[in-house]
Amino acid sequence: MEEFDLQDIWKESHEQAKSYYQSIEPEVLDMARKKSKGILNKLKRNLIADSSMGIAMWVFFFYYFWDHQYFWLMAGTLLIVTILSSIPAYKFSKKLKAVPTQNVVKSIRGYHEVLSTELRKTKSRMTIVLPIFFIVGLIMGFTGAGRGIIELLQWKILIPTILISILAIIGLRWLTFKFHMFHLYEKPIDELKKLLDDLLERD
Amino acid sequence: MKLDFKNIVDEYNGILYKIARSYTTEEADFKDLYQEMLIQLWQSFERFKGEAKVSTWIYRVSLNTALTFQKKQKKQFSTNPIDNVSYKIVEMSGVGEEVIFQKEKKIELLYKCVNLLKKDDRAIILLHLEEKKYDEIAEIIGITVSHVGVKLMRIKKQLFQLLKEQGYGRI
Repeated sequence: MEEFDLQDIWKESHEQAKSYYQSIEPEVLDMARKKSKGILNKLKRNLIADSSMGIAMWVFFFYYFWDHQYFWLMAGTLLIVTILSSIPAYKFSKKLKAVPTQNVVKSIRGYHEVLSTELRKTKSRMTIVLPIFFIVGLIMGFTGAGRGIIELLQWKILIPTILISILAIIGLRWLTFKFHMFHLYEKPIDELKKLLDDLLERD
Repeated sequence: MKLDFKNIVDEYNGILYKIARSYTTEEADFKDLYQEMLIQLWQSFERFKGEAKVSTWIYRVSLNTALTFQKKQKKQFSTNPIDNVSYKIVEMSGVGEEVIFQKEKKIELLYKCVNLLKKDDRAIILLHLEEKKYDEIAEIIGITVSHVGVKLMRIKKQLFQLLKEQGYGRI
């Protein structure tokens, strides 16, 4: 077996390529204009879905609690959080477009950097957003049950509520990262890192 | 724009096929990757200003897509190995069926062995089999020419070994 044998065999597979292309040729342009199913687009879609969910939650909140005594305080907080968490989706999309494409190594490195930064930012964002949503929910629930907010501020109620809230937030954050963020960020980040190390033969 | 893009794909579709075959073993994955490469090419077509050769641009975008492609989760009863549906060599005048059959078997075996290599190694051997020079491979991948040489020597040895193990000589 010689090297040129392999190149000849490889060349012959061009006939198969032609045969496949003939079968899809009429719809090639339609295929090219479909939505990407790649991991980066999945991430982008996920960020957009997160923002949309925030907006949906705000609408739901507005509809059901508009006559609540703390409505404007809560609605304002939720609106600010929703707007702040919508910005990353837009920024992420811009960063992806800016990834260098001069060669494979530069692109892989670019994607790795964008994803790693996004993961770091998502972690910080969740650390801030989760407690806010939790506190808003807690106050709404407490006052909705006909109890005054002053009652919530009594030590006997406040301390256990804070402890339970902290545990719930930690648990929720852990679950989100274990099952959701791992597949969305950490796994692809590890794969890109391994690919880059292999291409550059680093340990 | 649509017409320009279509003309390019008409001319270079062979690259997409060979890359997709080198990075997948199941028919569904092959079709998904082929389409994903078309999508990525279409999206980057606007930004392609002809600063590199068209073929270099296609290799770059398609290899990036293939290297970051995530295969579908395997479902027990729905997998269909691509060998079973391989796209047949179209009629060749004066060549008997047996010869075509042998050629197809050799092609399948070559893809099977390329598929057993590491993802990054597949990109380099693929470009070598496409008869790209070392400096072109270095430009597309983004490593030095000497690095290409060292890597290729190791990958070729590994590929020959795999072909032997898979019974290349017996075809």
